[in-house]
Amino acid sequence: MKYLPRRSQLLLCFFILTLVYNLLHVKALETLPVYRLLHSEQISTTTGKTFIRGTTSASVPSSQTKTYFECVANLKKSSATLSQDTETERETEITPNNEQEEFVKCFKGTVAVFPLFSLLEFDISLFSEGGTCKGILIILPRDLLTTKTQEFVTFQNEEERESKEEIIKKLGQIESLLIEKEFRVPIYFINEDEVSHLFSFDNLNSENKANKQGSYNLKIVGKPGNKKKIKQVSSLEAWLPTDLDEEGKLKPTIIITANYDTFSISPALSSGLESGNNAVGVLVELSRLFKKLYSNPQTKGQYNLLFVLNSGSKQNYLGTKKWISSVDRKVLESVELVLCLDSLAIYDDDLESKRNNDLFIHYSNGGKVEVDKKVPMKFQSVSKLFGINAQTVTKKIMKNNPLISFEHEIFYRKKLKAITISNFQSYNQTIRKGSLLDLQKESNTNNNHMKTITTLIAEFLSKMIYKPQEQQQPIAIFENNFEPNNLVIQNINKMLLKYNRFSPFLEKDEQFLLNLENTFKSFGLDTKIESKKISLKKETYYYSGTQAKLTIFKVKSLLFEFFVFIISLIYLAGLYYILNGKKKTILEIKQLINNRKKKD
Amino acid sequence: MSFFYLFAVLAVLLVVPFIYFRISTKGQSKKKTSILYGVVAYLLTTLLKMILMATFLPDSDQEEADFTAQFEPVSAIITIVVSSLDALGCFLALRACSGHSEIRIFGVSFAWSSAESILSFFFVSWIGCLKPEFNWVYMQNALGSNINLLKQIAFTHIIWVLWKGKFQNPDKRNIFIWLSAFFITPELFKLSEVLLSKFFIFGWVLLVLKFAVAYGLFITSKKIYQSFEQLNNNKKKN
Repeated sequence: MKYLPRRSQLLLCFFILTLVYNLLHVKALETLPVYRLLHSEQISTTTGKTFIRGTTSASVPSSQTKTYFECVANLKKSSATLSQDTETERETEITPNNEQEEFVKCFKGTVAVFPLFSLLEFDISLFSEGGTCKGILIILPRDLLTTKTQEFVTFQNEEERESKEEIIKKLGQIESLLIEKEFRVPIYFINEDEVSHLFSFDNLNSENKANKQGSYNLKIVGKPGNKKKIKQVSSLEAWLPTDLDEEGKLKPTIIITANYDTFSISPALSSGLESGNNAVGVLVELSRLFKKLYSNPQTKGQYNLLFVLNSGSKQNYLGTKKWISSVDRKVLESVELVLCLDSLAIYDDDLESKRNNDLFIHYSNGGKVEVDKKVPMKFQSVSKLFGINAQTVTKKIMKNNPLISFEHEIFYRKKLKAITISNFQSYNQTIRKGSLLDLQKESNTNNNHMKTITTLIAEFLSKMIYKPQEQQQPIAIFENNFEPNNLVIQNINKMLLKYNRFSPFLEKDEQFLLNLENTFKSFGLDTKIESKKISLKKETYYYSGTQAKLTIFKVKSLLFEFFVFIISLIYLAGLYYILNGKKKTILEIKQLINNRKKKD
Repeated sequence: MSFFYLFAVLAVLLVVPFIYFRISTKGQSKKKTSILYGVVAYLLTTLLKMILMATFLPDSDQEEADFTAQFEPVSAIITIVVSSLDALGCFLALRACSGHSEIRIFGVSFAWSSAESILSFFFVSWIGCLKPEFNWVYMQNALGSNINLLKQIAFTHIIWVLWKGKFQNPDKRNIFIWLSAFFITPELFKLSEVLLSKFFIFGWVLLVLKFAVAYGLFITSKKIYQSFEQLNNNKKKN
């Protein structure tokens, strides 16, 4: 430093300081919310062994990204060069499934970015071991089931093109795999809308366009979260009584139930309605309509109505089981029918298709309880009046099988007559189990189909209650002032869409439950929320910390910029050399060196 | 981006004109006055141009950097006419300062070009280079300003020749000089960039083309100046 003049010393200090500053701090481009894959632990009661499910790691260190398309392109390039070298033709097609090792190697040390549907093309469990990559970011498409997305799944020809249901089923299997296996790499989900300016998968033929502006560095700071298990389940009851009979006893009761909880492999994305919660709005509207009818002594029915909302439906209907065991015995004895409302409509842009309008009436037969077949037939005839096809589905209940397929089975086991109305024919369909494909969004709540369903169910109930002589014709109550209000259903749905309703993380005093309670109270119904403690034999713990912040850096490496700086210095020196001439420049340099020596 | 990139861009933006000026005017006096007049002339000319553009240029919804924009002939004609004020500004600056012809030409060119670089690119580059997103645009702008210096020197040479020649001997050579002065005005240079962008020529390719054109103009203008000076010297001797 003593050889340099003072000004140069100051400049050098400034330079060193900025170098240190740069090494310590690189500004982020932007931060986005990401949602973590479920992490759960299940302890076996027999062996005491712990089974870890889902992703165990939470944080992703700052690493470069690599998209699915990049690595597939690399695979094809490397195999093309290989076949050129060896002058052989490849017999098998180059796919991630066929070249698994190469495919996984490609992502080493990077954050793997996969669009959701790319998971159909390879086995995600290849990445379950730690060290395969730094983390996985799965991009959830904006429109999960549009034809554009369907084109993603490459088919050989039109004949091989699979139906939407098959794709949904396959994705369901992938979702099951994600939460059944232990993944030692962090797995996060992000909405396409958030990253569409960074990663574009629109033009699927052009792999080079997968990264819009070059590669990025991603960093996710996630917390592992606390262990939680389902401690309690809350049920919301709204009671609409009729007068007592002459002996002062309760008249017959009809129970209408629905569930408000849902499930998703990412608990922070469990706000969908299609797995069963779109019945909540219908149930609330039904309560309003019948309260209105019961307010008039002329239209007051001879049945008590009990509207119940339960939780724990994805945990084998834990909430309903707990609720039924705590209901007043007198009420239970007066129950004539339990109407369980499952998912009543699946959103699809092709709403005109018959499949989406179909309803299924599930009931169990055999044993000590016999559901009067007239009940499902009555529902069928009513649904025909509204142009909806309702089919009956019966299933024998196996006493030794603890699995509850539909809610009515719980009441059946308590010797109560019950039916379930559902849009699903089978209990284990992907969306019904709770899936990322549960895509009911706010914009989808504005359709009149739910209003039709509400009118249908109200009509059915009124036929049960009022027992008109002419059963084939509609009672024509639910029109004009008594017409179901679509706004009520929409508002309930919109409200539910704002909350994550994953059972293990629900508290007693959840805001949406309080809102629902207030809604029932505003209609004039006797409402209460009851929370019951749960203690299970099989302990399943779920980890919170379901959301994290993703930070994106789009930087060239510091080395690269230093290189650019050196090049610019060389450019300046070169320019000086060219303009000054060779002789003069060498002379000046010699003079400079001599001056320094003289000073010393 | 880091400070390395910022240093690189600013070095290219500011140091290159300085190097060129220092070497071209080594050992000569009265450099500072020519620089001062050059800067003042640039500022006043730009201010006047802005006022005239704002007054006469029709409103356009298109952004300057919109390469898909349609070419508007009326705006282009007004721009070209207004840009002829550059010649006036340059002429006034050359006339105001004193000293050897080369000092005046290089001083005014250097000052004009540096003022343009600082006002157009310095602050934008300072802020842009410190953004986390890497972009070559700032380096391209800095190198573009170096090319503009060449073009400005050529332009100033032409203005000097036109001024000192006092429009004598209106022959083909004078017409050629007039046309050169017209075609290398800054606005026309910028317009050519817009036109070239229609053929998807921008970025580094555009930079190379600009350098080729600017260098050609520089060499031509220098030869014109040298032949003019020689002519003058011969006249004086006679």
